[in-house]
Amino acid sequence: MTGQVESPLRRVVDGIDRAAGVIDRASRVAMGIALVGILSMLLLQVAVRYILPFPLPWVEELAVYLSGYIAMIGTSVCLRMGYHLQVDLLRDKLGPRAVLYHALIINLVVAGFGYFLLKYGIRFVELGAGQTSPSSYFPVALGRLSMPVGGGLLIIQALVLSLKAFDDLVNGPRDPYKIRS
Amino acid sequence: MAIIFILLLVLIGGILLGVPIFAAMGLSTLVHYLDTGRESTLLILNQRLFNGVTSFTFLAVPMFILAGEVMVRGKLIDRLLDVARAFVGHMRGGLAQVNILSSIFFAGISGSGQADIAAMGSTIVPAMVKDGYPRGYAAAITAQSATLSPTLPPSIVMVVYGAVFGVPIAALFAAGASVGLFMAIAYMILAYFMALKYELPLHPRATFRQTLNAVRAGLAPLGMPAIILIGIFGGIFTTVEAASVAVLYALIMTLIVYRTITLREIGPILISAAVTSAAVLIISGVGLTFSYIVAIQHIPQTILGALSTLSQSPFVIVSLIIVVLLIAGMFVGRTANILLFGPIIIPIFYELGYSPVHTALIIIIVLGVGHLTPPVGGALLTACLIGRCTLPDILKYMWPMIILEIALAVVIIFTPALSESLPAFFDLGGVSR
Repeated sequence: MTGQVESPLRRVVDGIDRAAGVIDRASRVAMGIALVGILSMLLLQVAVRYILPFPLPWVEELAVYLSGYIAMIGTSVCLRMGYHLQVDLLRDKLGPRAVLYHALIINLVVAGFGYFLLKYGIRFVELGAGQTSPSSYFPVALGRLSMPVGGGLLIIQALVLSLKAFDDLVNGPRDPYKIRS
Repeated sequence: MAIIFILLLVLIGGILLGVPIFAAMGLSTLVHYLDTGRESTLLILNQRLFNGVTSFTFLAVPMFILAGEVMVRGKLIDRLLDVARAFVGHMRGGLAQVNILSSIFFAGISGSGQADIAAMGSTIVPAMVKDGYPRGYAAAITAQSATLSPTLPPSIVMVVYGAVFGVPIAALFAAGASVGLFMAIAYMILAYFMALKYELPLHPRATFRQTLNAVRAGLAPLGMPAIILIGIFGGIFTTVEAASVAVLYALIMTLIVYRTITLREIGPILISAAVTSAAVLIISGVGLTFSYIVAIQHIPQTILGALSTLSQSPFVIVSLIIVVLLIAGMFVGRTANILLFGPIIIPIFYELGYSPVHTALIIIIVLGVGHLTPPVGGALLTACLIGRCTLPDILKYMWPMIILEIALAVVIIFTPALSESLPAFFDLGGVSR
C-alpha cells in the first residue's frame, strides 16, 4: 500500500470498467455457445443430406443467424482486447499523453459507428417485426437483433475505453501497457 | 466525384489515424448518405452489413479457424515436422526444407500465415539454431514459408475473398493449390542454394522404417487437409460443410484418439476461435457494404479513367496497381487489404481481361510480398518475435527471399495457366474472362 487516496473519478471509472468486464466475459461465453450452435447445425446439415430422408430447412438459417451474433457481439470483445486490425503507425510516434488523447478520440469515433449500428439496427429490427424467415421457422427480427445488440455493446466498450483514457489524462496512467486506442 | 473524394478521405484518413479498419470502412460507407440525402440509405447500409455477417459462405471462416485452433492446441502439429523431416531432412539445409514442407502441411490445417509462424516457428526455429543454422536465417525462412498458408487450401483469406467477390471458393482453393506448390518448390530451390552458401549441415536420409513410423504418426494431422480437399473437390461436401467436418475430425483426433485435449480445454478453445472469427467476420461484412458503395459510386471506373490518362497500356496500369498493393501489404494484413482494395481494383483487372481466379491469386500473392518487407511487414515482425532475433539479423537472410517472392509474383501475373489450369480441369468455374 502506498497510502495514496484514489481519486473519486478513478474509483468510478474502475467500477464501470469492472462492469464492462463482466459484460465482456458474458459476451465471450455467448460467442462460444453460438460457435457450438453453428458447428452443430452444419454437421446436422451434412447428416440430414446423407443419413436422414428429409431436409431440415431451418438448419442453415439458424447457423447464419448465430454467425451474425458472433460477428456483432464479437466486435465489442475484439475492441476491448485490442484485437481489431488497425494501423498503429501514428500512435507509435506519439508521446505518453498524446497516446491517451488518441485513445480517447479514436474510441469515441468507434462509439459513433456503434451508434449507427444501434440506431439503424433497431429500425431494421422494427421493419422485420411480424415477418418470418424463408423457412418460416424463425422471426427475422430475432436474427436482425444482433445488429442493435452488437451496436450497443460496441458503444459500451468504446465509451469505457475512452473514459479510462480520460481518467488517465486526469489522474495519470494506471498501467501504460494496458492503454490502447 | 466529391463524394468519392470524401469517402476515400474518411477511409484512408481514418485508417492512418489508427481507427480500427472495420470502423473506418464502415464510417466511409456512411458518406453515401451525403450523396443521397435520404435516411433510408443508412438503413440499407445497416441491412447490407447484416447480410454480410450472415452470409452462408462466411460460415466456413469460424469453422476453419476452430479446426485449426483444435489441432494446434492438441499438439498434433509436431507430427507434421517429423513427416517433413523423414522426406526432406536429408537434403542440403535439411531443416530449412523441413520448415517449408511442414508449412505446406500446416497450411492444410490452419489456413493462416501468422498462426503458422507462431505454431511451427516456436518448434522449428530452436531446432534449426541447435543444428547450427543462423538464428536470423531460421526466422527468415519461417516467415517466408508461412506466406504459403493464405495460398493453400483451406485459406481463410480465400474464403473471405470468394464470399465477398463472388468467386467460387473451390476454384480459388484449386488455383491456390497449384500456385502454392509452385512457390513452395521455388522456396526449396532457394533454400538449397542458401544452404550451400552458408554451408548448412547435411544429415543422413531417414530409413524406410523411420519414414513409415513418421507417416503413420502424421496420419492424424494430415488426414484433415485430405478430408477437406477430397470432400470439396470430390463433390461430397460444400466448402462450409467440409469446414465443419474438419472440426469434427479435429475434435475426434484430439479428444478421443490421442487425448491431447481435455474437455475442460474446449471452452477456452471455442471462445478463442469465436473471437478470431468475429474479427474476420465483421471486417468482411463491412467489406461487403464497402463493395456495394464502391460499385454504385463507380469508383473503379473513375480510377481506371484516371489511370488511363497516365497510360493506355494495361501493363502499366497493372504495374501501378501492383506497386500500390506491395506498399499496402507492408502495413496491413491480406484480408483487410483485399477488402479495402478489392472492390476498386478487381473490376479493373476484369476490365483488362484477367479471369477471377487469376486476379485473386495475383492480389493474394502480391500482398504476401509486402508481409515480408521491412520495416513493418507482419510476417517479418512476427518471425522476429518468435525467432527471438533482431530485424537486421533476419533481414540479412530475408532479401534473397523477398527478391524471389517478387520474381514469383511476376511469373504468376504473366502465366495465367498456373492459376487457371486446376480450376478448369475440375470445372470449378472462375476462369472465364
